[in-house]
Amino acid sequence: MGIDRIKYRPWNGEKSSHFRRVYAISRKIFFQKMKSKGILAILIIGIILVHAFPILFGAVIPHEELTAEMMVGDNVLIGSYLKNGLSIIFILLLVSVACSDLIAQDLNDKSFVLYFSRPIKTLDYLTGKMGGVIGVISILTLVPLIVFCLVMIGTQTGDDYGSSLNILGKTIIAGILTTVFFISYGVMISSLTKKKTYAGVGIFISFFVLTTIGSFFTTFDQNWSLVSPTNLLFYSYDMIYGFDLPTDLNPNIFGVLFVCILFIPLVVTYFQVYRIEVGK
Amino acid sequence: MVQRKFRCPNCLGVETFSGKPGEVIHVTCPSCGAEGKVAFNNISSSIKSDQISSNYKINADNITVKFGRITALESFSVKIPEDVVGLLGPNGAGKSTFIKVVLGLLKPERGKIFLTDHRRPDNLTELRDLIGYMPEHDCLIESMNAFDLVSYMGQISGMLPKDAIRRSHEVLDFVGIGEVRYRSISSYSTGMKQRVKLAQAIVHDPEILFLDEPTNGMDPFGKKEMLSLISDIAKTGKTIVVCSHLLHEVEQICNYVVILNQGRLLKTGSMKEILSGEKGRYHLELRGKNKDLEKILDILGSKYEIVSADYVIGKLIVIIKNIDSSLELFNLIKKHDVQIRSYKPDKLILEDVFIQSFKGGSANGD
Repeated sequence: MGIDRIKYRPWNGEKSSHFRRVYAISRKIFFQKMKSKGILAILIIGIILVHAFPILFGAVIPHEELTAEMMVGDNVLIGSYLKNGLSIIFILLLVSVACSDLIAQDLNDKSFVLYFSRPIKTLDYLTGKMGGVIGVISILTLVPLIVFCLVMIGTQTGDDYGSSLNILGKTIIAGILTTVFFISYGVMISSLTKKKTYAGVGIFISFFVLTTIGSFFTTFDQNWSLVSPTNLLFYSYDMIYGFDLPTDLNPNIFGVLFVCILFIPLVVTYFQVYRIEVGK
Repeated sequence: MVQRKFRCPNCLGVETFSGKPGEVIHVTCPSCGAEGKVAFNNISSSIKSDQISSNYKINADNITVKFGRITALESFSVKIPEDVVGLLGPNGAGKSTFIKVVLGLLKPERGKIFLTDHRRPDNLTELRDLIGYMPEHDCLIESMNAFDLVSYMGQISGMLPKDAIRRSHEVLDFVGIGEVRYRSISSYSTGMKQRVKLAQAIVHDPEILFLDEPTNGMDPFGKKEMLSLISDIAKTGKTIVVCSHLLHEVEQICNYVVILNQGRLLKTGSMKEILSGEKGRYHLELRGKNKDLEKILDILGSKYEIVSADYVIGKLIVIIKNIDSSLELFNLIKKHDVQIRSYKPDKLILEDVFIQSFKGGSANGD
């Protein structure tokens, strides 16, 4: 085979910490995703179309300070930066492409056994995989938000930097929530099928199906609007920035649905992978 | 003062205690805090004596695993020595289940697995650090190249990136994957994939290596080379457990055999011991006239136990048991005008042992 076989030599190197093993998975996933032309295209186009203009306008239009209205309200100049339909479409596209093969590929290759014959558990595997993809999705969901806030703070005319930094902090929380919100859903769909195409399309379509169901039944009861993941996310932004829920919505239903859509996918994914790990 | 190792029945950790011969002392397990007594002649009360034999690497004690109504392993106890061990059995015998139990992927309903010198068998991370596994089926990440995969697996196994890179090149050279290591695995032949599977299993230099059908799908040259690779690894003193249906391969490289069926242990022992056959069991080849051969067969049958007799015109091959004196046998045959063409102790091959184990008897034909 070109190279003469050498004798087997034992290895006596230093063992790394458990954290580094999980980090190795995240790093691999991150760089693998960042090599994908599809993902790069979505990231570049998404940043230009969704974030570049607000950041540019934010820098040139005079403003006293960064306010919550600029982020989620109906600001006269920028509109609602976070509650932007186009942004959701790009995030959804990115999640569909980035998460589709995250677990589906391992199911297809049967490569779970390579991971689970090593010193990592189901939770480590999922943390590693999700960590990598969180890094990728954050480029669209978190980094531009921070840049926007910093630009707004840097160009503000007023002196109340404390208030602006408070909004920056809340924006970081909103960005993290958006990332986790979409990824937990995407990873669950990926763990349910061996075909990454099915997973990708499934993530995209299921969001629209839920949104359509929510819109259709809203005419009967406003609480149905919470079935739409997009609405649920937008209302959670309001909560983060200190706004109240609309009065016609039941906060308990909001709470239950929010917890369900954020955590049920994670629980389903965990047990799906665990089931595969033990070969059942 | 005497030093002895004891296993705590609560946390299963192994601790060393010192005491005078015949003395009974109160001890507290440093790992879990359980209290008990330890005696230095024999052990009483809550902490039982369980000195671990250094000859055994894996000790499976009374393992029972069930999948619903199907029992995969039933009261399965085996001691795997520090050697090259063949794990044999038909499909569904429980071989893979046993490996999964050792890897900690399956929790048995009953029983425990102990690894020698391993403090806590329940600590999965520590346990899997010691093990390398080469699965039978396709499991490689097809979109990666061999180098990336092996280095990635090394890092997950606890190697620092720089070490993993160096070691990956080393093990890929060892298994005979040259420049193709930079090509996508999806373009590899079955034989090359088998080599990569071996490379990923040994990248972190595990103490115990499980090889499930290592020569599966390989050409005769590839098979020979794979067996030679396994022998090379074995020279470093590792415990290698080889699961295979190809018994002649197992016979070639293994020094110890474990045969199981339907989740139960059928036979275990060193290869030499198992293949040595029974004392007083001989392979005898005779030539002569047909009527003389027929006559001698009757006489031999009346004096000894005949295991098998193959009669071809002018030639008789007999496996005989219970021969105390070869001279007596020779004289008997000489009287009947029959030539002895061959007379040797009947050596079994692993296939005989395997088949006879399934027939319910021992390999010795009992």
